[in-house]
Amino acid sequence: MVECLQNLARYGRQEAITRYDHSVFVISRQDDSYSISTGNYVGSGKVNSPANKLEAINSMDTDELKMLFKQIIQSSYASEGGGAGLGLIDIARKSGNKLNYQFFDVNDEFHFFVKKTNVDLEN
Amino acid sequence: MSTEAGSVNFIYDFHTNMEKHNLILAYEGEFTQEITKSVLAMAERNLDSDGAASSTRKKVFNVMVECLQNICKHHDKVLDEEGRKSAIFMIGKIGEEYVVITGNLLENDVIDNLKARIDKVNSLDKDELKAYHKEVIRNTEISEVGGAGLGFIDMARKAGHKLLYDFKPGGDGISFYTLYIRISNAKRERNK
Repeated sequence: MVECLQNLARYGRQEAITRYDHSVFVISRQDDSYSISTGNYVGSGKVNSPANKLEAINSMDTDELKMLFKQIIQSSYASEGGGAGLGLIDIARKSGNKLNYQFFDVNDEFHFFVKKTNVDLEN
Repeated sequence: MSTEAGSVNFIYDFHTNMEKHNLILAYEGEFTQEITKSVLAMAERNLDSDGAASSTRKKVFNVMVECLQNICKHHDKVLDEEGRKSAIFMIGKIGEEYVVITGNLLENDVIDNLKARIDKVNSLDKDELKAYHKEVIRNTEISEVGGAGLGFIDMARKAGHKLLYDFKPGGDGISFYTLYIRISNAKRERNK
């Protein structure tokens, strides 16, 4: 939740047009898991970067994620938005599940980016 | 498509619906004192960033507090089908007006009393409400759950509009109670 909200706070408000600075945050509970979903607008030109990151992360198993995490910590400098690119990796590692996401066409300029993470309940 | 894709779609629909209905904030779930405080704090910040006049903010805030108190006091008596204490609280902005909307389950046998109280308040004009407020303060004893029956009177006075309500029968002797309160924006009142 913290990582998700940080992502929203960083990226959700980049677009300084009132209608497009709204974000949504939803927590829901199913029988055996919690879901944490976020949605925010992104400029259509900026869709590729998060999409590539998410694809890369989803293609990795636990050990690979751990490696990538270490590698980034050692080599990276903080990005413009203030993150080192660790957030999504963290979310994937903590949740132990793939990150579901989708970009919805809003208009020529904007996409609405929804990301949903399931966290299984421990029994 | 998998159910996962469906639920990702839902988030977008949810967002679109919030925008369509001009909602600023929605919270659904259990209401405790702690949660109520957080929801109020969030709502207050939203009103701030929205640039509402301070007198309007105060009125909206007052109505929100009354509504949340009502939910807090009453919603835990009736559980939904899955045994959860569940209620919903929303604020929105429609044109220059703010709206506060609450919804919760209640037992059918309290509906008549509730209706009578809201109808009574709705039948009064501004001055009558003021007089009624005084009268209630003088005469009533504090009820079981801690209310003196001033809630609706206060809300109506702050809102400057009739209180809209609805009861949707949900079977099993319970109904879903919705309260919809429009709150005039101070700026517009001054121009009258």
